[in-house]
Amino acid sequence: MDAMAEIRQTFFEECAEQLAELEAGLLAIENDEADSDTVNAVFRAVHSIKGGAGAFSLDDLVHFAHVFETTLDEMRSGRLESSEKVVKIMLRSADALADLVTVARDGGTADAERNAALIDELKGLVALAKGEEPPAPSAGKSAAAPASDGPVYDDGMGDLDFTPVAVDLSDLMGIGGDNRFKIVFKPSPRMYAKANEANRVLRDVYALGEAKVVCNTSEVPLLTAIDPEGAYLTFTIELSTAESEEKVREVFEFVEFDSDLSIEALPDEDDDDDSDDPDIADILARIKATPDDEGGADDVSGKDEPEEEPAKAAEPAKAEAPKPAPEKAAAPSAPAAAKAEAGGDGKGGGGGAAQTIRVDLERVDRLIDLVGELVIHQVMLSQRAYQAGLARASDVAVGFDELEQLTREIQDSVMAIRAQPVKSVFQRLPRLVREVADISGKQVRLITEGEWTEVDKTVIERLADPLTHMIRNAIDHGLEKPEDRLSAGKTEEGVVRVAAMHRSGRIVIEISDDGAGINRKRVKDIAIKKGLIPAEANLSDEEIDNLIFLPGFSTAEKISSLSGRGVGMDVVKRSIQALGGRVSITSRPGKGSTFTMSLPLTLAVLDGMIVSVGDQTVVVPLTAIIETLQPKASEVKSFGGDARLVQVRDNFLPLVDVARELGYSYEQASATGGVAILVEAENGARSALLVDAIQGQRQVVIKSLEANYGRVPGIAAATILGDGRVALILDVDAVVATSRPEGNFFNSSMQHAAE
Amino acid sequence: MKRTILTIDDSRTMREMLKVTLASSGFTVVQAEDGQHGIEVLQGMDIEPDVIITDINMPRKDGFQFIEEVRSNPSRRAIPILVLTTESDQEKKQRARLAGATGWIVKPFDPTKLVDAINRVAA
Repeated sequence: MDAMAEIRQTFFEECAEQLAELEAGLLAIENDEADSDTVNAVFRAVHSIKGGAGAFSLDDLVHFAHVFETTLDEMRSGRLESSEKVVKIMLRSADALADLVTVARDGGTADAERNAALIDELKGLVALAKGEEPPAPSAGKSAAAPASDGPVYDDGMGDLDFTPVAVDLSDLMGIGGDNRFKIVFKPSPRMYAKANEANRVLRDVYALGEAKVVCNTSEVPLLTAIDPEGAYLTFTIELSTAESEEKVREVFEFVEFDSDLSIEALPDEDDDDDSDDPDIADILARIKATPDDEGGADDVSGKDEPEEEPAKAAEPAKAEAPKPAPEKAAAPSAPAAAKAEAGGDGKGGGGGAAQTIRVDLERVDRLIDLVGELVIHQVMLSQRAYQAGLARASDVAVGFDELEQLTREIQDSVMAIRAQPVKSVFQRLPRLVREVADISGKQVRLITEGEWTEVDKTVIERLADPLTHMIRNAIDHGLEKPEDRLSAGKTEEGVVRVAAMHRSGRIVIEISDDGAGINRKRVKDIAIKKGLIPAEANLSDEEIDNLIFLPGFSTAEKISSLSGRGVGMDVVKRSIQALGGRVSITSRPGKGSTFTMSLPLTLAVLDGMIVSVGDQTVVVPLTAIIETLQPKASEVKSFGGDARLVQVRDNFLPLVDVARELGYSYEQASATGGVAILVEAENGARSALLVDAIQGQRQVVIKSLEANYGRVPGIAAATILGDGRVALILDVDAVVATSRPEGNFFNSSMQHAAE
Repeated sequence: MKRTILTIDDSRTMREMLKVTLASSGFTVVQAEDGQHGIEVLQGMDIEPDVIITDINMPRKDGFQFIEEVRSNPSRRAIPILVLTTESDQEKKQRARLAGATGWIVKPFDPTKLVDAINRVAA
């Protein structure tokens, strides 16, 4: 069923939100920043997950969430103190819950042993709160093997009151068995005040079998004395049915506390059939309290609506009460709304009724595309008007200026739709830090700043991996062990700070630690040993620090299970460059290191350098450009066949003739007549691109060439310029790769001029 | 005429579940995300709902507070209100009843039982 699949997806989306809320709440509790709302929100998060999981029969998840919820309830009621130990257990439980959600969504197996241990710990906390002895740890078999052992609801889980499937016991009663009941039912006014109606209850009774209903109207007063909201009728029902007493009782379950009710099984063969029912004494007591129903009874068996009169009588009362409620309802709503807003300022989001809509991403992208076109057409239109002789001071020109401003604003606003706070990535970090700290035996405090900084959704999605890796690196390599920190005169607990901010149209994320900083001597030795730099290379501190980004460099002497995983900082650097970003490191010995990565706010537009190549215009992504220069004849060396090298200070770089590369020209362009643009590919390889001239620098809207035409080697995408012409965006990586078959940065580009 | 149900639940999953179940049984569904929102939605409705189904545990205004507020308006005493609760939580059923709930629906609900419960209380 399609709808169910969709709801299932919603459920997992919501789980992710609830888990984030849960973790944020627990962290606030840990830092003593919590109020009762926080505890409630934490409880609700687990409760919601349990509720949804129940609907999908995710038994393991329900089971764990239930135990967790029970413990949180103790905290909520104040019986369980939120001590550091308690919160730590809860944080670990939150992690386990997240794992169970992942398993439920993607399949696989959860760490049953850990979960069973956590369940024991959580139960221990409940017992502690209740002042009981903690239960003995259930040895191994508890929830550890739920899959093989049938439902998880057994095994000491007596307190689990969550039953996913209702059991119908009617078969057990024997079909056709004629059960007879005498039911005395006297609704109280309270019952009507809750929108229950006697006639509906009676209707349900009829549905059970053959019923004879007698209504005692003797208590109905004279019209002048009647209370329109009163209740004066008593119904006596004789029912013969195949259903059990339980079923009969179910009909009355909504009304039994707002009426005088007795249900008595009439003798069929056996008299005291159900006298062992604990409720019987209660019912007997009530029968005694029920007024005698024999005198003055009208027979109303059948489908008359016996209490029609009082109900009708209540009508005028309804009409007379105009609408006092709206004001009453409005009054408390104002502070509630204000509070929700205050919460939004402080911790953000929060309130369940935040004003958001969900829109299909495709629609947003279509809108962004269209606005891109709009910007282009607006520029084109004004350019043509000026070319046709429009005076700059004319009213029309002023109108063009305003139009330009407006279209830019529209473009910014539309781009902002795709923007999301980095919070969604940042909130995964505490768990990561906990795990890495545990494994590495270090004490770490994580500080995040600027989590509301917004950036394009695509950038956010692709930010998580490099960020994760850099934080692992900061803890594993950056921070010292507690004992080393103490002897260095620092606190045992290391600090990792992750801060996001906007800076000149880009997002900048800094990951800093207060560890030992980069051991430059060791880094340099390793680089020399691995042949990454010549032994006599004279590098600045900054250059040494940035050696860690070189492919094949790893400072870990043995492969650690954390930072290892087969990737080094070079991979991090490449994935950031793939997003049009840059990363660098600064380090102070003994004080710590700071990684800084800067990324574009969106992948839909690109900062480009517009250059002329032959009679064509080409865009070179600005992020790839290191510098530009005009080569002198003495700096250009021919090198076997057509290949040329250009000398840039101490290095020789391949000189790529872009016009020839793209097939615009068969002639080799004169190196001295053009401009050489030094670019660096994602893998760090550098080349110099020879173009005719630089036109300028501007932001361009990226148009996919593959979607509109087809893939062209050496070209990444296209864009439309202000004058309406199409310009191709150069694929720097591809162009650099063709010029350097070896492709390895240090094997060629760091070659000394002397060689 | 199609009957209208107002459902109030802070869980999107539950809201969608209720909506799909109820819509496929021919009800019109109006949704709210918590008690406070429920009150606001109710004020804004041209015709009052035939039945209200509300969760208990919700931010801003919980199910109990919501029911009390609805019932404090005499003209809204005739709207049946069902609360969503877990099977054995007698205390919650009791509190909901005292607040003015008409009945309850056990979570996770079985679609036929849900519709049965509505038919039991709806006129």
